[in-house]
Amino acid sequence: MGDWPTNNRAPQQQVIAPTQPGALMGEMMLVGAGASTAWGTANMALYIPVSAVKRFICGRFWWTNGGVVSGNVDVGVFDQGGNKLDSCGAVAQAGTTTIQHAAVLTGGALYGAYYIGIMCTSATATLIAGTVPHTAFARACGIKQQTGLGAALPTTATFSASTQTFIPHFGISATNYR
Amino acid sequence: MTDWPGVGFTRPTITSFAMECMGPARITNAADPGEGSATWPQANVTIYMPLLLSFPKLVTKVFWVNGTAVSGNCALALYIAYPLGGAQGSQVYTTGTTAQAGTSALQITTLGTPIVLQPGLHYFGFGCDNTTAQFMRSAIPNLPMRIGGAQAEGNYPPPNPSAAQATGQSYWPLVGLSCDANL
Repeated sequence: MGDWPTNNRAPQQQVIAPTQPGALMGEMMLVGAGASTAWGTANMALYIPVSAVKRFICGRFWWTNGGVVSGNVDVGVFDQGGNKLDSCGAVAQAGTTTIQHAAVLTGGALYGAYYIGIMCTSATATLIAGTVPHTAFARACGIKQQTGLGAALPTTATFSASTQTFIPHFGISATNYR
Repeated sequence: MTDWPGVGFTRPTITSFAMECMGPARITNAADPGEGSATWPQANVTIYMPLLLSFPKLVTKVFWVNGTAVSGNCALALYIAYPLGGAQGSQVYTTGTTAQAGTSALQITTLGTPIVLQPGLHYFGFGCDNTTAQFMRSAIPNLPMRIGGAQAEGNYPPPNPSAAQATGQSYWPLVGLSCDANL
């Protein structure tokens, strides 16, 4: 009997995002095409389960603005216990229908399973997001949410099952130019 | 630069649509109607869906997603597969037959004793005893057979060993396993 295969030769990811193989790539095949979507709830965060199968250096955070920008956006990364490892802090949303980037604060390395989190301070802010096929879908994917936040992502997230019907396009790039 | 410690290799929850299971195979078929509620295709059939794990996976919960109508009983089992030599899979866990309850929602079973699935090929085995019950599912003609799916006709609840046969089903239910305390 042969040894079980390992991931020693797995390639370095360039991006950690919901659509990536270490995240929800398979499930995202069932999610609608990205479209401008209102955040809907001010000061709400969504947390997407992701994984890095090789050491991943955080270069910068990014998200994709929709047709209307409003308020601030914060993107970060959390361990499975909800502890924030890094974030960009509150950044004014700027530029419609385009990718917006923000610098990491500490720039650590990821290896394992995490959550990437995003929050908007304005209900009318829009992001490019895909619509899930039914309301139980986000919960089945392990997506979490947290409402009633302040101006930025919390130091320690409190995860509850998502009841949202969209999955935004955002993530972490391994470089500071992508 | 300080490295953050790894806290495990896999996401807490893996579904039957994940990369480890159905994955991107659906893009090969333009007839994919997407996911939605549909009646179970055949009474007392168990549908098998391959689950390929690259890392050990702690399992504390399993679930399926009910559709817009519930009826009768269903059961979800996990199997170790033996892809060589034609041996049938061995059941490592089953919910046992369970009354379907709660429309358009996850129906979750917490394992009495958590298990760890080792790296390798496994199967979800999901069955139902009637054709009135509805589940959230994808339905791509012939896709299950093309990506290693199987079935066991007249075998409800999911049998041990698997008694797997070739399948002509297109029904691919949304089920999953998890170690997520907040699922």
